Amino acid sequence: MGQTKAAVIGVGTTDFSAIYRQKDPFRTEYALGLEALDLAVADAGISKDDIDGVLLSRIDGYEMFCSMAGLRYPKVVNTYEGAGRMAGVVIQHAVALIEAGLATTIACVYGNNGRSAGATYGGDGGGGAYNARLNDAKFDMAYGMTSPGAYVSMMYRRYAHDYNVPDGALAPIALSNRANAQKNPIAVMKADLTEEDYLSSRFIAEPLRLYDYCMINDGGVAIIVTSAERARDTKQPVVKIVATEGVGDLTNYYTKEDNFRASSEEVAARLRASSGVGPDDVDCVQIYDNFTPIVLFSLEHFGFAPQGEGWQFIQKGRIALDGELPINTSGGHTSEGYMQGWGLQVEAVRQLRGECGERQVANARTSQYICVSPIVTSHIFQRED
Amino acid sequence: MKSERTVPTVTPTLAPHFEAAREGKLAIQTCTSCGGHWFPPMSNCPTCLKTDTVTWVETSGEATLWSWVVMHQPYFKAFKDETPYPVAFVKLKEGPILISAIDGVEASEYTFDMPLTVGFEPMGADDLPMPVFRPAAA
Repeated sequence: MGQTKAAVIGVGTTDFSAIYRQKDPFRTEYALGLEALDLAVADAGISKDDIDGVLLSRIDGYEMFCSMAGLRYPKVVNTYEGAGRMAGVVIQHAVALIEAGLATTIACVYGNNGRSAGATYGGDGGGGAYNARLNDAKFDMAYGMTSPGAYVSMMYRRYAHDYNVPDGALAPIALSNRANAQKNPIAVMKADLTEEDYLSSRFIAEPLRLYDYCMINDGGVAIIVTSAERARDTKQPVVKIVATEGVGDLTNYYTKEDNFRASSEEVAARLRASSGVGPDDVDCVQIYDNFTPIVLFSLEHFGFAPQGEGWQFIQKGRIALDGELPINTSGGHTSEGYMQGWGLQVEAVRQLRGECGERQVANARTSQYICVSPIVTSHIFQRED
Repeated sequence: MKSERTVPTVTPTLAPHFEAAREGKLAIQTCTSCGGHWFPPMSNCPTCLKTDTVTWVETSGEATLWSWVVMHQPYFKAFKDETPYPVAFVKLKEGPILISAIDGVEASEYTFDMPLTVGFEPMGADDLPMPVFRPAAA
């Protein structure tokens, strides 16, 4: 794909911190998504009725959601699985649908009540009718293997061996995310976090520790996409989605022997070609951090650091808000909230608008979102003016 | 306890694998057209998409250890008494990769690419023979 003509005109995030104070078994992903949508519509300064497309993730019933949203006749509508790889995919599809002329203004909405509903990302699937996917997973469950974090941990253990990486090398990511979250009013985890806290925290899937993991929390996020031409008529600074690329990396295991390298480098190359933007041009990057090692793989495969040196790149303040390459400026999945990529995409936009207050990266004009996962996606955003 | 573990349902497609496992053999599928190997078993060749070229082969049972993880989180009741426990990512000599376990040596003594050989352990309510590896004789 070449450069797109799309832009983000509205973003909305529920107050993750306030929501976290209380679990509520009747809090629904619908209500969270609707709240985020309302915020995004106000943020864009449009009328809700300007929306003619609705794409959801982790909200199963598009019929119910659109009925509750009073959006009876969307030209395009669908719901995507509640997996983090979908955050980037949904935005890509919104862009493609707009460029194909199937809709003009698409609300992309995510809602997650997993914490209140007691969701985990691992464990037994329980009984029921024969399910091929579940039966396949049972080959792993027989050995007590589950959870994407454990599959990533295997990749990281090998990486650490191959590149002589010392224990604790991932800590800077967790610490940087926390420091950024402390400057973000809606971030959930704001308590001081030291390297000692990190190293003494319990292992989850060793070598990964508690602070290497994203959190589980409730929240909603909405992103409204339209054409750049239409965006010029709305109240916010125009933030263009300059380019977006993606590729699946689909095998029987989350663990990839190449740490998602071939797939990610392909996306990086196509993105560079279609956007004209390279690593040196990026003012801040929002990197999918379900688990801290994925940040290292992302930095390396997308050309910010040489292979095997991502763990050194993140040291010495390089990734801080005033550093060479600020990463996950709102606190990321380990400290702001785990909205499975959606919050990161919003932050990529907010930084370019200059509305990030204490955590604002100076002169941010180009930002990037990267998700290294079984569907690798990445977007380049740029402020137009 | 091993008898409480979740194991695959033995479908017609999987049956030959487990029949061989009962004899102590690790059988996987191969394609008579392209010669590829894969695991776990399925209805078709992943390269050719054909079903009529799929057949079974007894593997050498040889493998190497690509990586491993030590699980500390109690995801499964059946593993409560063994936690923390290691899980291995094993590459068969024939190519396919499996999640499995290693017997006969502590995780602290695992080494990358160590040579392994397959055995079987009964697991689940019906004692399904599942592959488990041990260090190959030097």
